[in-house]
Amino acid sequence: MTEPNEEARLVAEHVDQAPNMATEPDEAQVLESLGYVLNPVTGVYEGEPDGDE
Amino acid sequence: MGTSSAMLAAARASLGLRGRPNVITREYAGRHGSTFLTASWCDMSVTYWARHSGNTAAVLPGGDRAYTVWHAQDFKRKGHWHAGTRPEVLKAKPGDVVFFDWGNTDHIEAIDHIGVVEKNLGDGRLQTIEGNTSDACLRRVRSYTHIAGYGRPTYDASAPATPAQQEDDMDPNTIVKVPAYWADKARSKFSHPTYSAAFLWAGTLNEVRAYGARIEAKLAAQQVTIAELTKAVATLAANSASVDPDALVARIQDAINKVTVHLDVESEPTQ
Repeated sequence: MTEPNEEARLVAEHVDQAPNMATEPDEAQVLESLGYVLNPVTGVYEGEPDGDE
Repeated sequence: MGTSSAMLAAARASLGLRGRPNVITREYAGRHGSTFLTASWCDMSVTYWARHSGNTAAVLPGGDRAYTVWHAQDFKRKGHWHAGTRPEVLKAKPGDVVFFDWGNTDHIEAIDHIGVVEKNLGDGRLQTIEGNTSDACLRRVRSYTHIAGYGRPTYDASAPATPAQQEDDMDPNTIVKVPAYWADKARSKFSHPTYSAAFLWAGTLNEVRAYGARIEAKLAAQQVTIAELTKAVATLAANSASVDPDALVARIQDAINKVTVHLDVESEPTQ
């Protein structure tokens, strides 16, 4: 295992720093078409995926 | 060794987790230092799901990871790395660990973020589960243009049934169910009853941990719901003298208190 403090520094500087995170514009429609249902309280599209797992 | 289904079950159990510190950052910080309590937690999530689904070796070939670049390099070193080109993304499978670069390159050193593939949409896009997306654990849809690449964990493909399939057959009041296939696998893998029992126990523990994480996520979501309900009651009371907010809150609390958790052990090892 590499030095944790070095990892903490790299995480702070480089991970999840971009503000938009490039979400797809039709994300909501795609998730709904997969059978998920948005829980407006938690913001989670809930349910089990149909198909190829 | 675990399965991709167990990995995804663990990821689904975290859906709705929000803010930090949280159960994922606390666990990672417990092993690697308090700095991680409030750090970006996307890769800590993948580490958490792997460790709680029996997939530590498969998903974390270099050990625990919070820094996405190191994690991708681990897969590359093992020869399990696939670049984020459209043809490669079309071959991604549920359970693959996907890495993103918001600068749209396939360079490992430029990776910003990580998630787990839940479904391949077949159009160059993947439906994922990600920790620390808007500081929450959510389902997302991502295009190959933002995918730097993905790692293919060496899951155990021989498991005859998946936790997701097991869940479909469960009694709605049952939270934890020990799958029968673990007993069969334990018997077929080890002739000695002690080893067979130990194998079954290890498998059971993984299942319990995965469902434990699921319960934690549900309780976290429940807390959010209670807060929203309390707010709604206050608004209602402000607009109507006929509503008794204390009585309404007491009724809600009473309903919550009736929630029970059952442990259902389906089978035990026999020789």
